[in-house]
Amino acid sequence: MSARGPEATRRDFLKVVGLAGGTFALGLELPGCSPKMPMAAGGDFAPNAWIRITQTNRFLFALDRVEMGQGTTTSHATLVAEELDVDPSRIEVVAAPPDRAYDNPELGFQATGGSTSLKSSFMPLRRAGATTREMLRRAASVAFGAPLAECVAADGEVRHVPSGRKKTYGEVAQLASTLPIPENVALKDPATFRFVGKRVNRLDARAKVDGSAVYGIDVKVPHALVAIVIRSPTIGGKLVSFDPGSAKTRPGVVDVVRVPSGVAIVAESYYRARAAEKDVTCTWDAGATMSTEVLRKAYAERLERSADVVASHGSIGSGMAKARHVLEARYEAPYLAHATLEPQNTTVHVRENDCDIWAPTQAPALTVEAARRILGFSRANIHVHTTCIGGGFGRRLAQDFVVEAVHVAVAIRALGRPVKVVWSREDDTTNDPYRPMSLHSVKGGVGEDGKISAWSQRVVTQSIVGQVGREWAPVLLPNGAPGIMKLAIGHTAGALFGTNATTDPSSHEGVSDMTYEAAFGAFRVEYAPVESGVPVGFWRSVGHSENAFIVESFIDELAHAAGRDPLEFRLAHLAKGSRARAVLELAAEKIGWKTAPAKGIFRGIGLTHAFSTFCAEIAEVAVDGHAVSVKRVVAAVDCGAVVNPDIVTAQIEGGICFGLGAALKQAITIEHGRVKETNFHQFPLLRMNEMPKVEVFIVPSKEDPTGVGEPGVPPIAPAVANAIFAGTGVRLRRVPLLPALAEALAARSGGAKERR
Amino acid sequence: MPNISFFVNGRAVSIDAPEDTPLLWILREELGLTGTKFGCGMALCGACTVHVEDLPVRACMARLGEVAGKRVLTIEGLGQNGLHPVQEAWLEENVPQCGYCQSGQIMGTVALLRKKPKPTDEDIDAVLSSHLCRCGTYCRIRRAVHRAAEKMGGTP
Repeated sequence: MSARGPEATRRDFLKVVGLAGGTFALGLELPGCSPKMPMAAGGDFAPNAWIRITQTNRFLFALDRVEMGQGTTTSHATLVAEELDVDPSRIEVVAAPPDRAYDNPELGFQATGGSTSLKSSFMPLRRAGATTREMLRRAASVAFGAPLAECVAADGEVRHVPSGRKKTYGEVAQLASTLPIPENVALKDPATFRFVGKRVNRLDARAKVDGSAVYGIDVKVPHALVAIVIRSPTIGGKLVSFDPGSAKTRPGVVDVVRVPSGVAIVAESYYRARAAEKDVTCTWDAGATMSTEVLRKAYAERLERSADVVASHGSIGSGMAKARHVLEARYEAPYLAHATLEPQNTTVHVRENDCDIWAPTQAPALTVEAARRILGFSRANIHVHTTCIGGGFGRRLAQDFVVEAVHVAVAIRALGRPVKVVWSREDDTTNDPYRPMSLHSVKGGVGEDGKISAWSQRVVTQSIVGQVGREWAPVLLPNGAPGIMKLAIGHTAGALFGTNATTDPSSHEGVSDMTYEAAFGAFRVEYAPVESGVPVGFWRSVGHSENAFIVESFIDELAHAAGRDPLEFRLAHLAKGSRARAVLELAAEKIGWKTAPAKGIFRGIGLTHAFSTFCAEIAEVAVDGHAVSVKRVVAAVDCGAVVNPDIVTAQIEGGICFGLGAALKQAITIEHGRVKETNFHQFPLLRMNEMPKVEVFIVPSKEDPTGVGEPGVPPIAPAVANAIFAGTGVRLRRVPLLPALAEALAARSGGAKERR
Repeated sequence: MPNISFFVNGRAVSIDAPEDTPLLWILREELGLTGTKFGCGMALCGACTVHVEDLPVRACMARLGEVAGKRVLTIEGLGQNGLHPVQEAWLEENVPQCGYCQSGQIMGTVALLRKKPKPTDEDIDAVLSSHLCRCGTYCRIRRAVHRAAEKMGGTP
């Protein structure tokens, strides 16, 4: 299986969507961001896995890139609507079930992540829409008894131009379903696009403002029980024994059972289960004993040992020798939690030979695989229903919450009832696959000419791919895997055969391929992976999330050391006419870089090329004594051809908010094997009053579209850190910035007193 | 234990549950009103905001016993004759992303506009800074609040 166009994917929508899974057989409402899926009816027209046109003139679209807020419902439906030539608001979006027809060619399996959704769907969905429209046109030509050339399909109907006769798409759907599927149907000329490239209102917004959207936690399955799980207080701790105490005598409590991750309290409702928590006594083994401070020391030691060279050109030694200014620094970034606002949850109904799973999952293929390994059912008998997702950010690529729910369902299988496992916020914060902690040493030299003559950097961090490879390999292997996912297999093979793991590009992305490196006299990046026992995962923008902070801060350091303007210094290292240069110049122009900001306001720049998208952000930060606040951010983004400019803008705004919360305030710390932060008072999200004004400018482009879910995140941390330096003279080399600044300013005033 | 009666979205209900049960779970699990969301359980995120006697309340901290005989309004009851102007403004500004916090944001905004029909940015900060949005829709929420105020003509 390789190409994924409708030409290759003759999977019938009815077979794939209409009949797959027990939901429809049971007659339950499909709990997605979607209307109720009508029962499959004969005579509907479903020429590919995505589109189905009913005889009643409804346009159904199976969305295979999950909606977690990033806008796929709207953007993907718009692509189909454009080529079908119907208004996007007429498209009814349903969540695609697991099927290899829906594999993401950028990832190698059915998953949503890595800002790949538009890139991977842009052409396949357009081809699907165009082929469907052409078949409807051909069917109408037969129905009219008129030459094809006299028939025009537009606005949801086919018109016979000479006679003015019309047939809706629905009226010719049955006939169209009997026609052969044509090859190589012409796509619309982008110059004639009616919806692509324009602001189309979000199709999922209505259900999200009236409370009717059904997230995983909202799924209502008849007779379902609700369970909570008491987990080890330490990372990786195992249950030795437990005493249910009086829990089982409480009204509404059905059972207290052991599962691999701890003890599940199963009840008629969440509040009944939670109320019984205090009755249960658990004894755990010691579990992990690591703490952040000890890990930081281990990282520092690792920094001194050997590392793998992952990028190199020129001689660092002679580059440094030629430099007039040489700087050396260490930078640090902490573990971070995803903190999706919807806590993890999954509903499972296990029967004798099959099961239903309702989950807010980013990777239905992995959800199936997770259940298959526990239950031993064939994949076809594991019916996964993707729900609305209350924030993804990479968290829901991991399947730990599904695995646990399946185990709970198995433990109570004899009851014959479905069960929904719901995590508390505390469960969620303390059992996350965290953004890895990292430590970097970086050394750079600037020559007489104001150009970087050498840049050498060593990255110490945990490999994410190394950790998830084992989980992912089974779904990847049959299909082959592009890019980074090949490394997941490499890691797994390494683990299985006892060889050393290869590199993990997600650890050093944005460093080893930094935007400026071609202009450096010499360049070397080394990667030193570490093990810590702390579970890690993909966190919105992954390696870029911390690496941009380091690269863009250090280039700022070099600019100041060389006495150059930070904008001019960057531009001197970016090729004329390059897309990176263009976004930086656009952001600089829009903020008025050449004009000094108002008194008390200071500016800083961040520029990244992440997930094939170029993004520059310039922050204006107010500094008043020890208080800093981010007032305004101007962003310029080049993500190729734009499908929906309002969604691009929203994603950059959101990325800035997400990145700024982490930049200013967030850290996960571990003490004696326990995660210290439990809820939003300790892991604070950015708040309304801290949100700067954001202006987003999109570079017009005819390049292939790239993603915007993640690229807004990385540049904001260095932009703010660089602005803080401009305002205070304090160079912050550790995030979160606010505690680091407070510490630096206290040390400075303490030092001043001592000198007095 | 006697049942506890109150009004939800204009409808009288009677619940058989311990009176210290959080209102949130009564709404979600006993009454099926899942538009009110669970985010933190400690009144830190605002996702569960409902109105009790027209005042905004965090349903995760409010107890069933405290609403006996009272009027509770949830997102489902907000626009009983079509959408509320605040919801309309939300659609016009394309506010939601994942959407999980939006019920709470909207209920918080309706309560704000009742007190301050023409809120300033500072008024908005004062009320909505206690409503967390992980996707980062704050810029749009702010615009939508102003837009809703305009739609409602400055009247509570």
